[in-house]
Amino acid sequence: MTQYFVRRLLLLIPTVFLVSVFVFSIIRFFPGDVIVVLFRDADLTQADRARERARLGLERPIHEQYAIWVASVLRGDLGRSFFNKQPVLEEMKLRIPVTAELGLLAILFGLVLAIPTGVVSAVRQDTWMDYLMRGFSIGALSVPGFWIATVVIIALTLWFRWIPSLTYVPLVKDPVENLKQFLIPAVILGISMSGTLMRMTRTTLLEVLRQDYIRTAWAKGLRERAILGRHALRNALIPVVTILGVEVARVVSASVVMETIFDLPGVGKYIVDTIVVRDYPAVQGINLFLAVFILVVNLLVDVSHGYLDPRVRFR
Amino acid sequence: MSRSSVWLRSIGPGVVALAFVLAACAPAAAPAPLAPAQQAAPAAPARPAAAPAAPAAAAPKSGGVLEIAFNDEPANWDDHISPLPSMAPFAYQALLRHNPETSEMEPLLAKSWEWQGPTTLVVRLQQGVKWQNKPPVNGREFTADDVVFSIKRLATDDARFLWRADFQPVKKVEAVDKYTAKFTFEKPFVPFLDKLANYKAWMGAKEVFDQYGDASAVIRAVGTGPYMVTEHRAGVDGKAVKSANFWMKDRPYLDGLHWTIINDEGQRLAALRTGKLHAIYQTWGGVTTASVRALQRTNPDVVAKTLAVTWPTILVMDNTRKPFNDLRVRKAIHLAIDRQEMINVIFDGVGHVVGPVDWALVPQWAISKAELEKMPGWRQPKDQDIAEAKKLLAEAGYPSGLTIEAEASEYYKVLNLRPMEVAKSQLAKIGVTVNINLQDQATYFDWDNTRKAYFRARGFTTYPDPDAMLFTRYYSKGGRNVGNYKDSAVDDLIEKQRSELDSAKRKQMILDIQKRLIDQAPYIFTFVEDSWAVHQPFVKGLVPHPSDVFGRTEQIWLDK
Repeated sequence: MTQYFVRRLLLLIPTVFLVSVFVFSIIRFFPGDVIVVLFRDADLTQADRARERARLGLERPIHEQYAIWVASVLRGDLGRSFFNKQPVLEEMKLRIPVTAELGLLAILFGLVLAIPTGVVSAVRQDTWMDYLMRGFSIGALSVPGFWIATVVIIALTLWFRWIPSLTYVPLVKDPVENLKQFLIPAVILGISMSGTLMRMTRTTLLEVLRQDYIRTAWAKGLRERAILGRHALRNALIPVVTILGVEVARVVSASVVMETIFDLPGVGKYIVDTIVVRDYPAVQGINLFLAVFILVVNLLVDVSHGYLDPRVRFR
Repeated sequence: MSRSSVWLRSIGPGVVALAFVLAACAPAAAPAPLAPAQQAAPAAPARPAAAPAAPAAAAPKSGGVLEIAFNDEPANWDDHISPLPSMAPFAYQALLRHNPETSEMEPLLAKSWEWQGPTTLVVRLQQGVKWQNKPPVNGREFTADDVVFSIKRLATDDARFLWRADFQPVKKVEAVDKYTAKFTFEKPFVPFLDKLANYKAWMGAKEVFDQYGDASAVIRAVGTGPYMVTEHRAGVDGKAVKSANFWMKDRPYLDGLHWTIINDEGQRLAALRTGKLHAIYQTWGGVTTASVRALQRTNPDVVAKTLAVTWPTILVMDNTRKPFNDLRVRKAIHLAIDRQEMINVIFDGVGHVVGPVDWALVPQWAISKAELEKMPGWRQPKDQDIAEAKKLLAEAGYPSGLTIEAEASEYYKVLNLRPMEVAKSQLAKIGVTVNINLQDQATYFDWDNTRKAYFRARGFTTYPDPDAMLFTRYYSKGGRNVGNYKDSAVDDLIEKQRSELDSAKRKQMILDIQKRLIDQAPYIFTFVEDSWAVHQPFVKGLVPHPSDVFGRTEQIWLDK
């Protein structure tokens, strides 16, 4: 297991390297000059553009720019935004907790909704409860989160004359106000995620419930609760844990919409804003961070298999 | 297993899911139809009521914090560089400002001014004006040296300084004494007072720029204005408090203001409906006509005013490239465009057609509305124009029509993509096929700056005095002559009107320029969107003017 973990960690290095090359270069190949966006409406001559590019270090060859950037990243410096001149790391420190909180709450809610409904649906297969749960899960998968969010905002406004706080309130500053802000987008994201998780839970639990050892447990006279809790569920949740790794990545991308609609200053919204204006340091920094984060999460998910499933042998 | 249970198992979940999908895809409840009075296209935009220092109905109350929203965070809060509106009118002040009713010049930091001959302007400053009490300026007095510094900065010969063309005609600016500044010009520069009244031409303190280089971070703002910025979270919000040493007696009324960045229009409206926001300003698509109508149905007490803005929408063609280098093609396009239909489709009728100079903003300089509406291109109905357009195209060698490439962007799409979409359908009537190439923001501005663009709809920011538009957009060496238009007669007139001290003669020159522009059709002059300023009924004293985005901020108060 340790060998496997170390090997996977070492494999992260070339993966991160490839990701860094990709995020560094792709934004530079987009059409549109960042200098023009920076000085929109200014009548820039070629000389002006060249001077501004030099000021930002963009006149160097691309491989040199990459080397300088990597060297500064290794020192913990992600550069400064071309636009507001603030260190990218400082911007991320403000935004990561927002997206992290939103993501965690969404995953928590998604699990709380998905696992019980998946279990009920599997155990009560082919009953009206099963049909209801499955219908709900398909609905959760099909109805776009942004639509639900917009409807919720309108309903709150028109019926209750209330919306969450307009400006971000950190959890440590005022937990109640913070949760008022985060609960609705987190629930919406969670509902969206719960569709996949519920269906996976149901499918795997149905498979497990058909296994011989479960039949033996029934034959021994164990109660349903004991069979489910002690034997079936743990094995059924292994694939769900795998899916969770994928869902974490999806939450980050889905957070863009929720952060925009609910005005949360998170990473998702920041990344879209910076891509649109070609803020190279910010785009590079955020993308690199997210890529590394998702790689690490998936590594942890893979490793966790060893604990959940003793049959798994890491080679 | 029975057949019915098989069917139920198969279709049951699907039926439930289908119900969800249909619910998701069902159109939103249709909005209540507009009452007939609302459906009629409104008349010319209502001007905001005159702004007395204290409203007659109730004495202003002190206190309270004004909650406002921007739809975007300015990339740069230094207005000498940035094209976007910012906190300037709250924190900073210019030497002059426009009267919201008449657009005439009024004193602000300048108490009085006089022309001593055609090339010398002397400005006398208000005395006892203090900078905000914030480092590194620390509340010292505002003097003529600050004027000298600020004007020189505005005129910096660097492409980043957007307004430099307005201040570079100043040959020399000097402090005659502590409260008097003298401007000397190479030759008479008549529109200069208008430049001094642009809210972006605010006065800045040298200490700030010596320490920071620029005022790009709003937290660094130190002005003479009524509110001092104290907090800022980029992309989130900011706060400004009442400046303790503000020079206008008993002003400002508010304790401060709090701005929030809310990108989503729905969220802004929700905030206004629930009372979390007090005002949404008209800047840059803050709220659309359809949203205002919806808002008025649920919150009938909300105050919504329209006012003319200083950015007409113009269809820009590259005059140097085929087919736009042919006058007949340009004129055919000019004739085919139905401006009023554009306003009706895009803005639900809230707007007005314009020529090269906006008659609603500056009637003293523009071709009158009555005259404009009789001219080809603007007259209704369009039958005669369409017939003439087809004839011109045939003469130009396109009897079966032609195809043109156009660019558009989702960025501020009401001034950009939407007019181009309407133009596409209108030009189809004369056999012109328009291929709209949708570009993202960065590409769009890149093509604009490098003059790659063929055909696009664009907002042209301007000032009340027409010189701003004429010199930058229509003058062949103008900094933003994005259509590459060149006409020596127009150039000559533009240069001359800048120095013409006789206002009747100047007016005639400007009228002649407009008529020649219409005749040559280098651009298609279309409309001005009458923008909305929306606020809660308890917000008083809010009188925005097109050139002073937030109005006289020191006289805003909350009646609650």
